Amino acid sequence: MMIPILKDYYAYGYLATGDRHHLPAYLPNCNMALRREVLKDVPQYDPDCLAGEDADFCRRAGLAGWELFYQPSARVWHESRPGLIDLIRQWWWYGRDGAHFFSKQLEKKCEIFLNLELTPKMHHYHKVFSLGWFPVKMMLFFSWFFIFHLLLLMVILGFALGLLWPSVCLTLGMLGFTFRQFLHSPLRKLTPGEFLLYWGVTWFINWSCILSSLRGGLRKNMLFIYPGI
Amino acid sequence: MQFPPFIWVFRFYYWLAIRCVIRRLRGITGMISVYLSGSLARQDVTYGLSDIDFKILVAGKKDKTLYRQIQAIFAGLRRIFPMLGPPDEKGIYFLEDFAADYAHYPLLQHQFDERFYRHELLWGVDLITRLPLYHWSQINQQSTFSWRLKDCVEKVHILAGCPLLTDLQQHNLLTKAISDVMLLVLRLRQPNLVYQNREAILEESAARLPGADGEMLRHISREKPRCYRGRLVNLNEKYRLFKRAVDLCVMELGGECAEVGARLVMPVEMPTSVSGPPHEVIEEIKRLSPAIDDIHIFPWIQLPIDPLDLHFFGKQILLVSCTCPIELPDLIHLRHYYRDHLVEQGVLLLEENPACLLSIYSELLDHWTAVAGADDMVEMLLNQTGFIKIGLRQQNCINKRLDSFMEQLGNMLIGYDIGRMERRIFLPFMFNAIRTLIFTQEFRKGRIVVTPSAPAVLEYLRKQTPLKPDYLNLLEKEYLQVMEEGRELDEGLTVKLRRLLECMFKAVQEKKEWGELEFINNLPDKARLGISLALVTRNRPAQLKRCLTSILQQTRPPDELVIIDSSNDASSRKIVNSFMYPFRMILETTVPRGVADARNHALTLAGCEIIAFVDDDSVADPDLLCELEKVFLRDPRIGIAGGSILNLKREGNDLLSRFMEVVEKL
Repeated sequence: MMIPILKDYYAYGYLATGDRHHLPAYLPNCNMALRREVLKDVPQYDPDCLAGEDADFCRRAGLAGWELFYQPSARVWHESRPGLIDLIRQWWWYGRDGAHFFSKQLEKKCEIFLNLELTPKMHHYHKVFSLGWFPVKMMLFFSWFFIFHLLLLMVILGFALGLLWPSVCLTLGMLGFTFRQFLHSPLRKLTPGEFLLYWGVTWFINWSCILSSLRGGLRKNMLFIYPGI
Repeated sequence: MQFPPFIWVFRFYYWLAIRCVIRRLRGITGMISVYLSGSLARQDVTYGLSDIDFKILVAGKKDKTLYRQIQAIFAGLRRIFPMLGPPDEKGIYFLEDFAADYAHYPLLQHQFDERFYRHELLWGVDLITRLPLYHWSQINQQSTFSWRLKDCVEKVHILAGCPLLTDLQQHNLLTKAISDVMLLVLRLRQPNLVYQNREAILEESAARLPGADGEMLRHISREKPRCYRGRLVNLNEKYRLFKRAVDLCVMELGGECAEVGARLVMPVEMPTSVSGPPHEVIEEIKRLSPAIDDIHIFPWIQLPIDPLDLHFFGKQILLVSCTCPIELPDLIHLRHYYRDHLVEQGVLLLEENPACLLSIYSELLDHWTAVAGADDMVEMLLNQTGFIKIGLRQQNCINKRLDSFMEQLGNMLIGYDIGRMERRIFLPFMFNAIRTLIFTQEFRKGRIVVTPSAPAVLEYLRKQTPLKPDYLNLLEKEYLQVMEEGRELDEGLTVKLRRLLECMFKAVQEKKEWGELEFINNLPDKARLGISLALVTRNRPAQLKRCLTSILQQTRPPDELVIIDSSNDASSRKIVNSFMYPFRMILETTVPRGVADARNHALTLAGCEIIAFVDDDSVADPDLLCELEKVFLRDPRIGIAGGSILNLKREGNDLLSRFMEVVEKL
């Protein structure tokens, strides 16, 4: 559901079932098959899940002891949404309705996940912080995208307050780290034009997802940030 | 950086790493003690280069999950402390199995010997002093002699041809090797002898060796190690003496065994046809040394301890006979040729005179010292008689090996590990396991049946079991296609093969006859799973038409198609009804209540074993269901399978389709 393209998202073979620090991998409904015996353990999709019902199903099957397998040679071509607005709206729904799925996964009162890849994969988010007690339920996913914008805000504030050197240092550090991540990401394969296109479209997608996830989380009485792709 | 300000930082960093490890480990239930071992405990540490080695003692039996848990802890900590070594079998010991391992595994004894490894208790109960550890002098050293001999021969064969060694170093190496092996011979005769130095050993053995060889040894013992200028013995002569010494040692080891117990005589069945390596290989071997005059080929029959020990499966022994002793340079050429071209096909044994063999490859020495270990039958191969004599000790050895094999195979069958196995080794594994089951069954009846390769296994199954020949032919064809032509394994065939292995295992375990396998014939040769394809659609008639077309083009059509239509009008229904379906089709129209609800409805309607989902706005690859079925046949524990989702290119060149192309490129 939350992956538009799944060519190299996983490696061939059994998928990770998740551990204390990671969320489990899942297979999207668009190309998925299940054994009938699984229905004995997981009788049906959760009808309350408006988005992420497949991820929820896979997670519950994994908890019941079933294995998930990814076979890249089983291929399906999926048509994307017809226009940019539709795509952004789709990600708006994902952010808003994903809150239900993620609130089901919340083990402690507050959990913070971090992934600094430029193209973050869901099951690569690492749980860096969790607390058993907290005033509100909280589940935050910090991606490079989100942190970059937070730091950008700090830099602007710094310049505005006249803190010249700290702001310059922060800017240089930010750019250096971004460059390092860029060299380790598949984005380096793109031409400058393609890179700009990717960056521009994902900028809208990610912000729509972040804002809608905040809104969706508030409806579930939790603080939830999911930063998209 | 090994001076004050830096070394303090390093020391703190190392100390911190050790504290963190202890902190994480002590929470695990069953943890008894953590020892520091290796260079850090010996205090000759180079900070920044040395790693930190631990010995971890855990209560109870060997436990895979606990083992993985400890490994995971180390993997996590290694991100911050890269000097933490990987904890493998050498580092984690389970106490209930410790005594047994320690008793028969020489390396383990070595690792707890204080002269080589000092241990420092970091946390827990100090158990090493209370463990059943014997002092070096108390251990039956003879049990490790075959290992030491093997090490020695391997070292000489690797180093003697090394171009980096000078002439002087080669002389030194061979002299040391001769004295090491002679020491083993002398110790085998008189266990408690003590010698001051190598010269004394050589003198002593020269006194016991009659004739020219004794003279030669005496000359060697008088050589001055630092100046070989006035040397009396040349390199080839030394190498010949080394071989003589190894022969003596092997004879001593075998002699020790021959005294024990009565001998059984067992009939041996060999496979009728053994196809050798190509003619040019034999020509090439003959060309490498003028001494070689004959080459024989035998099936290899080593018994695996572990079902996954596929190293020797389907290989042959090439027995190369020479009329005169082979020289060191020729031997090195032969060894290189063997490593480059023959390792995959077989193993090479060199016969210089009928009484002894020389190994080219170190693993062969296992074979050769088999007179002591007795788990192979080179002797039998050389005699080529219909009967083999086996001593009681040898019989016990074989039985022990077969028992451990059966135990491990049983564990694999229970744990469904076979499904998880890499597909490349699946068929060799199956045939290896069946081959050893056959051997076990026949050995218990007092017969030795040799089935070294898959065709020989199938030949045996044809003759001795009630299995239908059609199925066995099918298996043989599949084996050849997969192993030789590199075709992908047909998972449909593997289900019955797995069932066959389980039944054979049960028959051997319960000591029953192969006649019990009769019912296997009733299983279908090629397993098949029923697939229901579920399609949920809403208000997308054009895309639905495209999707249905792709479903009808499947190379493996579904057994049933369930379509849940929650559209607002009848156009989708019309499109569904406009196609002809060669399988069962169920069309249900519902009110739109969300996609999860529609899918739940589809789940209740679908009747087959596998339920596959496809979206209405996607196009399926013709092989989609075929590939998914393969996954489910492979392992009964797989509950959910899925595949790749690619971008369907739409007409026109708008911004979004270009964006999707970019995403697909990543």
